[in-house]
Amino acid sequence: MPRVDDESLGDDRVLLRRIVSSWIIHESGTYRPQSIAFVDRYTFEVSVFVADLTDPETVLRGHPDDSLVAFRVEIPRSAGGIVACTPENPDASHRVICYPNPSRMKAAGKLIAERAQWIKLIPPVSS
Amino acid sequence: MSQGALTQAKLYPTAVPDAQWSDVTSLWRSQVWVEDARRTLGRISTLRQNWDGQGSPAPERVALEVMNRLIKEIDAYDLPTAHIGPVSGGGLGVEWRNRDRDLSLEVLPDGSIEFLKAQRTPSGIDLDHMEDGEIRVDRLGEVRALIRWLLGN
Repeated sequence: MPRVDDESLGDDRVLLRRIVSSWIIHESGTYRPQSIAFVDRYTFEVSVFVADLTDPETVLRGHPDDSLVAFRVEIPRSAGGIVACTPENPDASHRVICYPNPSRMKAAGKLIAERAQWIKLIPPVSS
Repeated sequence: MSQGALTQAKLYPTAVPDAQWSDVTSLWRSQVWVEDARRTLGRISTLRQNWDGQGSPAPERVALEVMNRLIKEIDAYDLPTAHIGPVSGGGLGVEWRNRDRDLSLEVLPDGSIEFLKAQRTPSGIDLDHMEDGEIRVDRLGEVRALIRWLLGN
């Protein structure tokens, strides 16, 4: 079934995404996620969670080494993306961001990486 | 030849041929980012399937090889730290930030290469100041033009 935008989610709602340590940049004394953290060439769907339908501990359960960022729904939508429900996933807070093409996915990844905020940051060991 | 190279040629018109100055700067500093990049690539090459917790395959060997070739192609440039990471699906990405310019290169699982240039404005990065495209693997030298853009040359 094709994904459809979850119109019940306003642009101001907040999404959470897990960030593995390999996606964290340490530069000029601060940490930021790489844009590739918001790109998925495997499923072409970027997995996220609606912040007010879950909590950080739940999202990170089973992934103790991962960090967590938050960003507003409007950012992927501004790049042509949709934020779709995943009926196959029993977690009601789970969504996937889908884009019309990989070019949009890359551009949105850049925007999200710029504007995302850390909810939980575990600095990578190598930095 | 860049404007910087012209300046060098004027400073040393007889002692140094023009070609010596094209696109090459401090080798010592270049080695720092190159060595860091190769170390990071070594770490990434050890990732296994599901490294992202989403079922991604491990980084593909062809992607690792192409990233190595990319680095070799530009290892003479004096660049800021190259941030290399795995991409879900088996590819790799690398990005640099230099003042108001960001350059991202992505090696896809099949070894093909895509780039994204983004220029920062006073209000940040937006879609109107981004440009993306592809680089053919048999034309890796084209990445030099992107590096020159990153450096503002």
